[in-house]
Amino acid sequence: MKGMNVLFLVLEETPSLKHFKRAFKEKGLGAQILDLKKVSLSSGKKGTEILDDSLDLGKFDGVYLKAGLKLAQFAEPLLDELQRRNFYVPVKKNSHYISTNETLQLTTLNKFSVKVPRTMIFGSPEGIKAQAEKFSYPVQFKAFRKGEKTMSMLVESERSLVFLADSFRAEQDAIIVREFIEGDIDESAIIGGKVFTIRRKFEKGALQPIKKSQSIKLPEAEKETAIHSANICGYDIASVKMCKGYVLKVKPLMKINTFNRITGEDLYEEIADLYKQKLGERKKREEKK
Amino acid sequence: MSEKKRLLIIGSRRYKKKTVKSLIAEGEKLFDSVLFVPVHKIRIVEEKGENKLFYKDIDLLKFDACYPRTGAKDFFLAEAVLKIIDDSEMYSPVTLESYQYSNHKYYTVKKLAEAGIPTLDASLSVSAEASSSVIKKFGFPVVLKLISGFAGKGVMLVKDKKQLASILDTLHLFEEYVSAQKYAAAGNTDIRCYVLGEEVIAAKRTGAKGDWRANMSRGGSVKPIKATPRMKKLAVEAARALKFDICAVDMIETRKANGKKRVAVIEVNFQPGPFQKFLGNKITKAMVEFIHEKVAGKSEKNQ
Repeated sequence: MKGMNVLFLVLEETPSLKHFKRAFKEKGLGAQILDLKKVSLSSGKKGTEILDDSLDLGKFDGVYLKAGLKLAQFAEPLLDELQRRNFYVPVKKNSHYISTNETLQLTTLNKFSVKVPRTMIFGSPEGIKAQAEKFSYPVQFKAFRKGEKTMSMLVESERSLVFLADSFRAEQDAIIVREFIEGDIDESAIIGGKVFTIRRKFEKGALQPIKKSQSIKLPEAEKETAIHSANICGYDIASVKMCKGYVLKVKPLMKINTFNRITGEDLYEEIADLYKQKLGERKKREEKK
Repeated sequence: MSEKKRLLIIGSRRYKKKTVKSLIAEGEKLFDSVLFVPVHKIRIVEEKGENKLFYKDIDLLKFDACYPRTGAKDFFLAEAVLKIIDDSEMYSPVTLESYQYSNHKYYTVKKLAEAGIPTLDASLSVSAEASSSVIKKFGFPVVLKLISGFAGKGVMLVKDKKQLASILDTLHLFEEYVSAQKYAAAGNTDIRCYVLGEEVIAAKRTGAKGDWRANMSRGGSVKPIKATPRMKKLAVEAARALKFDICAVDMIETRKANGKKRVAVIEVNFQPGPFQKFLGNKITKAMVEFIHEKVAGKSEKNQ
């Protein structure tokens, strides 16, 4: 595995990067960090270039992109280019589009028969009234404007939902009304085929703070659902939130230190292992060619 | 006896009544029924692996064809609606992918360049310093475009380094992404090629007096022209590269240093205006006819 290098494209240098560097070094992988703010994409007669004066992309085999979902408009063409050039990136093209738009994520998960709570999405509040009787209560009500969530609340009854819909004056991009699944929240870190889960207890009508979470093992079927959900959304590495087997949300894995502390595992090492495996497979494929 | 065919037209939240009226009128000549629904009136129902689209109690996935004409500002709901249409059996001349590419100025150029279609060099950066260094390579003047800008309102012509510095600082202060594009002097005219599968209808647009762009939303004029074989080829290839059956491909004609004419694609439009003031119902008629042929062809195959 000598000579395998991974480029970390990050928006800001956080302390977690030194853990990544350490873990990658232990696995025999080189890791170089580059500030995303220095990078430009340029396309034209010469095809597409990823530009930074100090960058020699040819020496890398894989890329770890930590761009944050707000950078979706930059990340998507960048991922498209990295994929085209055959770099291993655990975040695939379209994943940022899917994760920044909850309506698209729910639609995508449901299309692949992932168990999601029954959901209706409206473009304006007027349509809600006529459908209010069709829900089992409570429901979760989320409103979005200019791509940002402007409201998220639990609605206990049909009457309250109608009242809420009537009270809306400002135009919304979309309103999601989703049946609420009450119970403990299991948040899983998916790293390739491995699943590490922490559980937040739902007690006395509220979720415990995340620092009080406990490490648990998901049943095999739920593990498979979590991995499948991450993959559908374009991730080899992700965080999947579930409740009673229902998938609530898939997003890029962020809270690595919290997972490490609660599960007693080293997810930096697990991620380095995944890169080692994927880069090895990639090398073998190229040697066969 | 032939099967009854139904056409669904999905409009933007702020749709143009005149365009919709014309599409419906043309649709009614060929289809047995036509329904128009603005995207924000649609209800998505997601349950047990099935995604459905409704308008009131009408199941929108039961139509034979759908022509979605959503705008950049509809993206939050439109992405999910287009995903469901992509996955359905209904014919649509546009896709979710085509919507995402064409609403992203830089991504459009990237895809065109990959397909070997001549376009104007463009860049995308998240910081002012990175933008500035790429732009210097392009040279001045340069055109700056906001990523989600539409109808030319987010487009600026930057003449020199000094102007560039102050504009970039302001844009990044508001966390706007900037796509820069090489400027090519073509006057305030361009050529719009409406693509309908393999067919191309061309028109020359001239911008309003004093405007450096050929954008009709601020006035100007449109005149039908005969597209050259080169223009036709580029327009069809551009539409294919961006996964469209129906779109408008805008191109400019410039002169190379040796005096030869050069055509470059500058933009691909998801919901092109039909310029009825100048072209009458020619474009809306062609759009509906194309969709009808696709649907009729599909049912012939099934027989």
